[in-house]
Amino acid sequence: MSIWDKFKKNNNDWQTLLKQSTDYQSTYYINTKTNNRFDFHFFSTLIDEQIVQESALPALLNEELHTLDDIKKIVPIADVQISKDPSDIEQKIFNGYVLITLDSDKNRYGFIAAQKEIVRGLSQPEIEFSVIGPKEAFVESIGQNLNLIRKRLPIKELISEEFTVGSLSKTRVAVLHIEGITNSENVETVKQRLTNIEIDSISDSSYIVELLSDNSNSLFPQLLDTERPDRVAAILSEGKVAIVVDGSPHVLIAPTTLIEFFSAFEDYFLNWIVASFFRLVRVFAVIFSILVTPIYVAALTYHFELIPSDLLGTLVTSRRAIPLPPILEALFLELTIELLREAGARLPTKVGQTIGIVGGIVIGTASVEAGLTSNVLLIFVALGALGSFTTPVYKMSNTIRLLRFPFLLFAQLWGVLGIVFCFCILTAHLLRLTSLGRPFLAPIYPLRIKDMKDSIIRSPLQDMSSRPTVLRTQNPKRFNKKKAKKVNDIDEESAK
Amino acid sequence: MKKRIVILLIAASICLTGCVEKKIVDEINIAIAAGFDSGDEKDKFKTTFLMQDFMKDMSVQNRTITTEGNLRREVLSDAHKQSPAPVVVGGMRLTLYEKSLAETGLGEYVDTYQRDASIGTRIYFATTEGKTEDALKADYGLQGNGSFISDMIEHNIRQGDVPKTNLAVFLHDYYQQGKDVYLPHLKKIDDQNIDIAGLMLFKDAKALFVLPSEKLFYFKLLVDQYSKGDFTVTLDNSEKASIHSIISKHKFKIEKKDPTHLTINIKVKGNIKEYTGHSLSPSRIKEISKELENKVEKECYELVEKFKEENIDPVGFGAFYKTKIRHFDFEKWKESYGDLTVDVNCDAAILETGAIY
Repeated sequence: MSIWDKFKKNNNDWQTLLKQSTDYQSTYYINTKTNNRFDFHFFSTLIDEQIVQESALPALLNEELHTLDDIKKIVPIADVQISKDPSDIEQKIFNGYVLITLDSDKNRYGFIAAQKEIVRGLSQPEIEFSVIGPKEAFVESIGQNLNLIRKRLPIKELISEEFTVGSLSKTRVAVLHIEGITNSENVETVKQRLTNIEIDSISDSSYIVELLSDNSNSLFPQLLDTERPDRVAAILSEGKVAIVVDGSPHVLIAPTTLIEFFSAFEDYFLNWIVASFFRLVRVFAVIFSILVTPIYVAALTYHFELIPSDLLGTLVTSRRAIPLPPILEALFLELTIELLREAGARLPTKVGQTIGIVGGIVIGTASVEAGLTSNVLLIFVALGALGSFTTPVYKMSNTIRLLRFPFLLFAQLWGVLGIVFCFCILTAHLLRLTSLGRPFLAPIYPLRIKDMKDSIIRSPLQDMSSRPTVLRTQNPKRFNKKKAKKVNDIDEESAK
Repeated sequence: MKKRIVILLIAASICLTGCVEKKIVDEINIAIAAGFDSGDEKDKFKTTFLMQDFMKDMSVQNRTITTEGNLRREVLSDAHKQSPAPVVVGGMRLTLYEKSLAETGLGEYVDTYQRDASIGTRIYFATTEGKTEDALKADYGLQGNGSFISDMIEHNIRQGDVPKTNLAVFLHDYYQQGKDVYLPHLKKIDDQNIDIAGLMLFKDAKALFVLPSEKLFYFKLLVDQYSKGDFTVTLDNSEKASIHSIISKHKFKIEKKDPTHLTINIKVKGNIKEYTGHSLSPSRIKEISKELENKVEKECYELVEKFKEENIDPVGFGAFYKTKIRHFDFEKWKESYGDLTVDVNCDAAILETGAIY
């Protein structure tokens, strides 16, 4: 039961509660031709007064106004609605409509759309920045965001269904898919889960991620969020579902796979060999970032046999003066890096720059000189941190930062055996994980060689002629591979 | 159920931590080499462990611990008593045996090496002319004695004329019937120098005699691939050519009619590095390779004859015969080993004679 309903039970006059807000305004005017009195009720902060003054008011004052239905004839605004239901009042008024009541037509309510849209101008993508390619990013308005997507997919098959989520925030959530391509099961799952959400307010699309996820206890994000309209358009045409949430500059994509989190959209703008190399580098960076400190701890604590004899001297000399065992040394440095990152993220940009200096130079060198950590480990930890920053999706890079700590713990407990143990648990978890019921680890497991074309490597565009099989799309073929690219000699062309 | 598993895992991870022995790398004494000498008393032997102390400037200081005992594990626990940190053998790269000890048989000494999982199978074994303690106590270079000697053996195996030997090869040959083991033989020259004096040949794991280093190349031709080595050929007109071999192959062939006759085909490919004559015409090159073939054939034949004379089989003829003849009888083989007739054929090819003619 909404607050409005509760209020209605006690008092039938819907104005009493609204009048408590100072930006609620209610005035009356008298029509010059019919002497009919009509009232305006609106929130001055939600409507564009210019529309009211220039379009609605002159017509209402000077044209013949007998019933509410006359508004539709005389007011030059497309969105004019007449309703008998008083429960519409709340929804309309708060969506930027002006409520008109007529003395001669008391049981009905007229609404004129006069929304004031305060939209931030389009800006460059900040998280998924790309050197080449489109520079547009989503903003906080659902209308603007849908516009950006529709511009890229101007087809009637692009269906956008809207929902309202949140008993207080009344957030508009749009579910987008392309009819005839996207598996309807996926669309239905999203819609069903959205309607089942029972929450008071939605602050950002991240809320939706958590509420829609198959397993919200997992470290891994199961919906991909992106701020790039080009990426959403591309992924929609691949046969996935996009979820646009009002008030959030991040659009969600489902179902998603683990591999997708390591592909930057810029990969598609680069030569496929270069892009594949970068993807491999990213995958290597992630593995390196998770495993480097645990392996250091395991090797130095248990498995000195594994260390090449030429490296042994370097390691032993660098560690000689250090009073801490390898695990404490590693934890100390890892926590330092986490502190630096957290401090850098919380501080205003201008102050944040000093953090880099303090952290990088002062703490790094000083802790080595003070004999708290070995310089070899310092390099490993710094490289590991660097590796975790290469992940294009911010949420995934956070996950990777956290993942190394259990590995570190088990490396200390059982050495390399512990790392393997941790790895087994991680693999088991990833294998069980699903996104909208589709396997999260595809195409690695279940193995789909055909889908490998766009996973760890990015194959040439003309080779990506079919949609991912795990999505079970209605139309698995994207285009004719043979006709995709034809390089004819210009002379041949003219000879025809 | 799930909860129970989680609790069990946590309990296991806490309780089992004590089960794994921690060996923090700077809190242990890693023995990089060990040496076995015969002891002052009978049935006892001396063991020398060579440790590395890493200096600030990355140089290595040698430190040795010598203990005496009659069990190898006992020796290790004695070594702990002389060391500031526990001595571990997992980082071992080299083990030396004194010649007089090797003559009594190496079998039991190698046994500990194959039982200790922490010791890699790629460590090198060698015999020494004098006491191993002296060989390990010298000062050969900045990288430390252990690394010095094992690096010396390693590069001579890879790029030189020492046939491949390490723990894995040694154990393989040791347990294989029809093949005798061999190890590099080291000789300490003075306190700064040591060299590979030859190859110690064994008979039933007992050291027998040393093959001098001049013969090593020909021996490697018989037992190994990629024999690399330089040797000189003197032509009829007393001109000399130095040839560097880069690749070699050997093939044994048993005559079908007469199994006691064995043909060894050896292929050598090499470059001419030096020539004292005027110019190398194709006919001259042919002459050189012919001369080379003759030399290889002669030397290899002599080696085999020598082995027959000593009744040892380091080339592994017996092991080869076993793979070729069904129901091979080793007792019979041992008796008839002396009757084996060997024919060596060499096919030499000169690949390169230099850039400038």
